[in-house]
Amino acid sequence: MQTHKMNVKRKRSFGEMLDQASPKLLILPTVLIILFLAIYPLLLSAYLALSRFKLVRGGFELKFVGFRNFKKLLFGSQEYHFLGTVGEILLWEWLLIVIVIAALCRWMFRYLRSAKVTVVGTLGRSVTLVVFSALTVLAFAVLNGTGYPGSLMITLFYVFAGVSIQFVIALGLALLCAQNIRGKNFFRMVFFIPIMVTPVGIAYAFRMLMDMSQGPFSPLWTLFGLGEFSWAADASMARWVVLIGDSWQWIPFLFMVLFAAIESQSKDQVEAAQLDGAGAWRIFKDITFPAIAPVAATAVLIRLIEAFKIIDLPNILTNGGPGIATESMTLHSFIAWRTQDLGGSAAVGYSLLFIAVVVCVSFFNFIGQKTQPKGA
Amino acid sequence: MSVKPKSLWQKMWEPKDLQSMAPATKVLSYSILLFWTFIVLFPLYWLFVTSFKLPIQVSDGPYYIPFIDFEPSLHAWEYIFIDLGRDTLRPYMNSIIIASSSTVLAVFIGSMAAYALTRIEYKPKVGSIVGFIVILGLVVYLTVVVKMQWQLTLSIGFALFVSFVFAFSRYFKRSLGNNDILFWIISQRIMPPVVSVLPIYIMFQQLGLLDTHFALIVTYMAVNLPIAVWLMRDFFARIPVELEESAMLDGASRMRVFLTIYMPLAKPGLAATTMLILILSWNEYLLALFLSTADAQTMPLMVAAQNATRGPQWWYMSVLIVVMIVPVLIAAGFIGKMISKGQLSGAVKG
Amino acid sequence: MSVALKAIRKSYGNIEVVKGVDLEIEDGQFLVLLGPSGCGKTTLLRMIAGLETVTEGQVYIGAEDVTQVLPKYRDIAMVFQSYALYPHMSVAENIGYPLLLRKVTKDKRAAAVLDAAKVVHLEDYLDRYPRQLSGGQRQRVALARAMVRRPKLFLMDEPLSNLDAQLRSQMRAELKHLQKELAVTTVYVTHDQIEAMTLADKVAVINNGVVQQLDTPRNIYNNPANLFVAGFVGSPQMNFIRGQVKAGGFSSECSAVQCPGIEDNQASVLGVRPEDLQIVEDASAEINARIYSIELTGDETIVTCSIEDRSPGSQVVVRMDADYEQKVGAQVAIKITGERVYFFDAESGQRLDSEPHTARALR
Repeated sequence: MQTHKMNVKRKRSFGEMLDQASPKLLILPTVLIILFLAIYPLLLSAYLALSRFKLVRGGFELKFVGFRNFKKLLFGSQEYHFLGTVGEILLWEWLLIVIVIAALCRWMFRYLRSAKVTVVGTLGRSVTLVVFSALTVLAFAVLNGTGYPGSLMITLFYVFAGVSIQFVIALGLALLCAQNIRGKNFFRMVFFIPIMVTPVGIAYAFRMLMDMSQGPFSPLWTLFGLGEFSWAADASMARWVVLIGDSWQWIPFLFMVLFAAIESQSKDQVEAAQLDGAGAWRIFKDITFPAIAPVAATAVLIRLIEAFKIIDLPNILTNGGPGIATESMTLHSFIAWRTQDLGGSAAVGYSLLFIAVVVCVSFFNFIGQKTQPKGA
Repeated sequence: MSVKPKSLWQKMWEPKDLQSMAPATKVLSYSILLFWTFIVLFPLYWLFVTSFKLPIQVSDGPYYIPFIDFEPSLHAWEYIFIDLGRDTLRPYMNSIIIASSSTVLAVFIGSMAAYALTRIEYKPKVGSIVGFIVILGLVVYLTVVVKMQWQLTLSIGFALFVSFVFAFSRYFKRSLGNNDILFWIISQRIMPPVVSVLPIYIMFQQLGLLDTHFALIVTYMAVNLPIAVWLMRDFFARIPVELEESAMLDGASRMRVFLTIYMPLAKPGLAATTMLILILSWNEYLLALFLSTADAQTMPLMVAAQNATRGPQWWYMSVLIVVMIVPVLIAAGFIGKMISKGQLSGAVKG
Repeated sequence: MSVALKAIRKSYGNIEVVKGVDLEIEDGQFLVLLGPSGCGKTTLLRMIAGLETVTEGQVYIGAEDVTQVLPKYRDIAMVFQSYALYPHMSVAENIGYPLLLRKVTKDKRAAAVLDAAKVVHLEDYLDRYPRQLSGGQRQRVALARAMVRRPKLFLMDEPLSNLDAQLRSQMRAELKHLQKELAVTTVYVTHDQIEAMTLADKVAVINNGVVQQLDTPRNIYNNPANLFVAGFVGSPQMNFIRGQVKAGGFSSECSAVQCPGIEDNQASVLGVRPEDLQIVEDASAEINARIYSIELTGDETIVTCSIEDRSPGSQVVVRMDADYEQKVGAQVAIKITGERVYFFDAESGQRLDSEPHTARALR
């Protein structure tokens, strides 16, 4: 046997070098774009949130003011706008608050006593605990009829009420559609349409539809004696109308995802349960729902993330009004920007980011993880 | 045990066999589904009908069916397409150019990253990342507070980072994995656009690129990139790795593998991702509101602007909204066919 | 509980998959439905379960016509090929689920689950989840879930086909033992003839939606009703030689034998199993052939020979002792030595004789 000498140095062509670098080249564009158009702006925005913006001759001036912008939102002149006007909390409401907070504490306590305590886990749960407790108190203080909610609570209303309503309706429609029905494809296609309509268009369409005196349903309203009623002037009705428009647009998304998940679940498992004597409800509860739960959790998470960004509908449907009754945080931030209050605008944006991160990460870690397949 | 005769209640709610539905379930299901079909279609029908109404027919109260209730008129369509003409066409073209190019870019660049994250193992060092963040902070500080030229600070920062990595990277032990990178990319989607749009506005203003196609295309692409990476990664992960390995043994480069094997095989996934991102950028409102004023104005802004001085011009708006929906519907039909075809061939292969 | 199928038909649109099947299964019997894939055997099983509607005909369980009865009232347990375990439930929850649906109290349920788990040797795994188990263990969970509520009838749809060969033979023995112990009527679907032969009290060989033969495994092997059954059961396959019968003699291009008592037939087939053949030095051998390949399996040698037949490439397989050696390509003579030679009509596939011919009768 002859041994090969390995001292021959191969000349590497340019193409080969390019190929060798391809792992970096493939991911570099994405990383750079995110660095320049997400991380860099995020840092700049942090600085904006901590400073006061002033137009001066031939440009602008930024003055570092620390947390004054946030202070203004939480305790200062913008408190009514951001947190809302605090009303009186009744005794039984205090009781409910205590129950909610006690439940959160119990959850925290059980974690601390369990075997798998970590520093990060404890820290994360503490943040969730504090934020959710504070939000519970705030919710009761501004939403019980004696106070007025600010953009924070209004956004959370859109997010939580909206996503839950949309999830329930979408799940119901998906279950109905997944039955052995005719025209399955027709329904699937039609139910998908609203997501393709621009939110601005939806806002105008619903303004037309909800017109009490000239809209298509006006005879109906007149019949109920509501012909003169103006929902746009009623704070809570206006919020519900925004919510209806938002739901009309986003139910299709959840519907498509849930429908696909139901259609792709194992038929054998359902048949085994049928043979064992399970009825339709038990099959849904014991077999179908656990099977689609991971997909459902992901879909809800995506929806949560997007729901925090709502602006088009309240801006056009109600222009944030009456007063600030339908103003989401994004709209609040936009209005602040329009009035040249860049610092305030960035501060609202950052608060939104904070709340969104806490809610989404809590959902992902504490609810989403539970739906994952067991014993993995 | 003998089978008991069914009560009337059971006969209503229990199907005859598993292939059919019980009478009551059937009636209930179809009525709910048809009701929802009405809810979905009626607003669109109303928009469509309103686009053929005269102002007087709108303000006089509801008219429902053209030719029976009222005499349809093309006045709004004439106004939008003939009187306004170019002013309609420009935002329309803007929207088409911006939505389509940003979608193509986002899907392609996102797919590249998604492919890389499914098939190549990355180990970014924690130390290098910390160093990078520190240097980036420094750059921001120098630019904004000390007011140095951003071109200068960026290049200083870059030089600093490169020398830092070369000098220290071998001392860093802990590294992150692909899932961390993926999470980092996806988490960008949580960021509300209103947080990043102010600095982006300032950035483009400094570059003199406000109100251009470029600014909107780049921004839309950046905003939708995380979605593309997230969705495409799932589709790529389903492609058997043996295909790539055999192609590489046959002498294909990574880029070629990506372009000639992964992209064609992931066609249904590409179609679905493209569709979603196309819809999102076509309908986008907030970023356009900040970054465009006249030249690069997109359709959503044009629709919103119909709420002008004389109150909402429902008829014009309706025309514009209908016109905006049509291309998406066409694209959806076209792309939807691709999706279902792909799924079918996948099912045949088992 | 006995089961009876009366003139069962099933069609999907214009395609008829089951074309009139009559079957009687006695109480406690182990019936295997054997056939190639797509022959309608699984559809038949699913019709017994009520998962599939019956286009025509009746299904009886006991004395009762259950054709129009929903599966949940039939009191049947089924084991699926995929096992159909619920991934989010532990082993104990999986096994106990049928009892939970029957509103059995928690204590009784736990006891029943433990009993069932003991029978299949899973008592140590009750807290695990399906994905933490091996294929064989999952299979056992599925079995335990099926028998925990003592149903009238077990249905099994290729339950062993996802296991590896060794585990399969082990599970086969366990299954047979369990079935005899519980004495529950069982219908078992498979395309594996070894499973069918070893497990069944009776085998129904099915092809093209029709029962080809219903008999004991021994009779199916020794006395196949037609060409399909003869060819499908047995491994290596039965050898077929095409030829014609004239005046009590069968002749083909490579062979000629006597076949007393069979009417003249232009297109007939002689069938003989590999173990009934021997390669000999004898010049009086019936078949002339050339060795194509030799495979040693350990305890025997499978010799494949090519014969000059009207259909080119025809082969005859012979089972020889383990010490048989010969070169590939050698010219050899094959002699019929066993007791079972069959004659079939080539067109209809039906047997021409009522009893197999012995080797002596051929000469």
